Amino acid sequence: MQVWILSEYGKPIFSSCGCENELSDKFALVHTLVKRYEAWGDDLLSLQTKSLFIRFCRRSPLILCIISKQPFNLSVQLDMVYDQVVSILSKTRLEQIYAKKNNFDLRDWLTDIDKRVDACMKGFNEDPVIFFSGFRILPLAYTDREFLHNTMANEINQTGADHVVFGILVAHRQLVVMVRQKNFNLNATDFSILISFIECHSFQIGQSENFIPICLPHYNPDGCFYAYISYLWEGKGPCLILFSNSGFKELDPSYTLKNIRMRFEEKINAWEKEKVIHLKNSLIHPDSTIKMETGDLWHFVYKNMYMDSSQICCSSPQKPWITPEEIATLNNGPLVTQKTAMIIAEKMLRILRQDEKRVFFLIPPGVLNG
Amino acid sequence: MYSYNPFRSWTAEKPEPSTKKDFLKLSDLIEFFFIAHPKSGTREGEEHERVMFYYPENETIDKKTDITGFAIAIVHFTDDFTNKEDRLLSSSEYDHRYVTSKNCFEIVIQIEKGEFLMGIALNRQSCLKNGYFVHLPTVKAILAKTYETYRLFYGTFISLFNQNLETFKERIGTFFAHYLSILRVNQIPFLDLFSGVDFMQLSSLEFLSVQCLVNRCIEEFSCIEKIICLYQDQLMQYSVEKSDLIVLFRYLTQNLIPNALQNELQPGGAKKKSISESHIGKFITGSIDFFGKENGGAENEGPTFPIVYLTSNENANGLPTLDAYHLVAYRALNTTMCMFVKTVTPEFLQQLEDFLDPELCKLGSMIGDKVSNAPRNAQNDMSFYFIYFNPDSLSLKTNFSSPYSTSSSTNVPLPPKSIYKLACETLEHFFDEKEEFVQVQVKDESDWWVVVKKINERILILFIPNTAPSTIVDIHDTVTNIVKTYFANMFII
Repeated sequence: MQVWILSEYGKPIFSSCGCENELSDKFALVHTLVKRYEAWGDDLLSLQTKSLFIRFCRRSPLILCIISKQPFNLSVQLDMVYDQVVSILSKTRLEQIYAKKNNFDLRDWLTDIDKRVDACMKGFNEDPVIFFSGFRILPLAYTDREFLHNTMANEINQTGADHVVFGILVAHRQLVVMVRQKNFNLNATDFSILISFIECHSFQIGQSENFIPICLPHYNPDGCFYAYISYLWEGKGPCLILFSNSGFKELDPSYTLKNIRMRFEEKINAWEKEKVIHLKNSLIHPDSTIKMETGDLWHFVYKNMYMDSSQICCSSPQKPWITPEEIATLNNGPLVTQKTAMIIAEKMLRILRQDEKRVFFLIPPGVLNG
Repeated sequence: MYSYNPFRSWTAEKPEPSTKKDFLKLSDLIEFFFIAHPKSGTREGEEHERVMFYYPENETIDKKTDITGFAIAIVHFTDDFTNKEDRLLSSSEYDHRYVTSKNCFEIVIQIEKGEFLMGIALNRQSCLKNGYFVHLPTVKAILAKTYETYRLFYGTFISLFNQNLETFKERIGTFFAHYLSILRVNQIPFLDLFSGVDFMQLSSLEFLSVQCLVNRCIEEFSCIEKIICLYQDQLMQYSVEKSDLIVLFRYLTQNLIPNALQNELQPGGAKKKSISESHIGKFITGSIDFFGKENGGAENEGPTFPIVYLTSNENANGLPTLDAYHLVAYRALNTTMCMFVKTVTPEFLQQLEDFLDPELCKLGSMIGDKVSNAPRNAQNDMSFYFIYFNPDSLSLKTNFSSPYSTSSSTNVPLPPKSIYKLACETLEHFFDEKEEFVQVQVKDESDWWVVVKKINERILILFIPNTAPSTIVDIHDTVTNIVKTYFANMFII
């Protein structure tokens, strides 16, 4: 699979397979094809041969193109790559840059775009949740999750930092807890952007705290939050992200956010010793298995659509899996009959309902003062 | 230009389709259509020379040049991403490119080993307005069929192109302009997607009788090289190449035979095209009016029969060699024997009729008895719709109604149109051509089930209405019963 990004004016910006300069003739042809259709009052969407699938996406001032041997989810993948670009610059900034100078070389401003796109593409191939538009929740005992949620919310509210709009704890690409102000809602696709960012900067985050501007395209493509990102427990724990929309109302919002993190960690450590050990262990080595009696179930994905934010529970694939399409998808062994598959499905649904508090995030997140 | 007009039968009145909306006129959906010869427009300033035919004809030359140039650019662009081995593997005839845009669906296919490009674009809004679900492989199949129909009557593009460019342009202009204006597409994409023939089910003895008669014809008349034998609109026997069978069968069952049948049903009948008044059957192609008349024409003017081009073998370039044959079709008691001969003489026709008429009547009578004594059509008992296709034998069976079909269809109401889209998507997304055994069951919001089953290359698509709440397990049992009851001979379970 290859992903290309170029400007509407024909300038190559990014190629996932190698140096975009070497592919300048291909970029020029893509530009010509897209622009020709624009001249006809049309919009080129895709090309397809027997074994090749090419999808185009015009998001002024950018043109994105994906070339794949598989036809599935190409538009979604292009949207995700575009979202990565917007998360770095914001849509307004992007348009301003090219309005000022249409032959601007955007590569200087997108220094880590290759890592971000690589992280995206890795997710396409390896994370079964990526196309489900949902939050994958880290399985955790309800009491542990409740404790983390309440502690985070209290610490943020007690500092009086009404510019903190989101507080998120992430481990192993999964959401542990989230607190937010009532009017702010985090979109699952924006959450994927955060996951990609953490993945491709994990070393840097582990070394030090980070305070960076970040745009959440689905929340507001024209503005930026200032995100404080740090691993707990000296780089060994889950990743804490605090979003501030201070816009420098405070002289140094990072101080406030750093303080919140410190107090959060202190409160966790001050909890009952055995519970803390259990909690830390659950976060570092989560138990994501659903106990099934039969080994015929290779893999499952379950999306709970009854919650405001669609939440997903899935097993870690032990055996080869096929990209799931349905809301509840089971991959069974090849010798399983349909009747057996139905029985396994019913069993799995019952277990998920019993285990709901552990595998889903049921605590209302909108508890921050703002 | 031959005096025979392949469209003559098309212009005759046809039986009205059972539901007017089952078929749509392609001309109501089309945005453009073109035939291009890339090598003709390589020089700067002469790019427009590559346009051999374009519809609509009143489009500007710049737009025609642009559209065809774009198609060529796409072919080259996509070729750059495939390695040489894959390109060779996919260089079969009709190597395609699908292009989708906000306004159109476009298909471009390479014809005659890439010597020509043929393209068609359907307008999205028009398709939506007419309720036509665009399944790109189906439109590709329709495009290929237009080319094959031309080739059947006029031979390959390159042969005439090399002889005389202006004549070639005129020929394809006349043919495609008219063909596109009358071509209809099925609302159910699969019926256009699968190119097959409806075989008549014959017992061993009946088939032996047919085969014996065919062998005797060939033995008796050495000029007869190939034969197709049909009863009503079903195929009994053929000796043409498989690559020619589909287009021939389509032409015979959708035009020639229905036209002949209409003539037979008219009061008084059409002017009898029989050499001898004592014969029951008659020729349904060609003109034999010269018999016994002073026609005042050239002394050597003989009978004229339509010319068709059939495959003989491949030449060194991998292109099929086509030979021209006269299509001599004789019909008696619902049985049609189509013979392909290189030369036709009055003596041959006389002898042929004398020999064939009694034999064909005997055969037609035997088959007719079997048909009239056959138990009630099993299809009337079916509470579902099906499409069965065997790509090896080219057998295609369905109980969806066709205006050209004489068999009755089931009484079950047709599925909603969303089902066809679902079935197409199921076939595209869940079927791997390399897999030999596949079964996919999908339930629609309208509670119809679509089951696509492939065993030993044979494909069966079932459309099952849901009369009671059912699960995947229930429908699996239903499908097993259906296959056992109606398709036991076709699948090895």
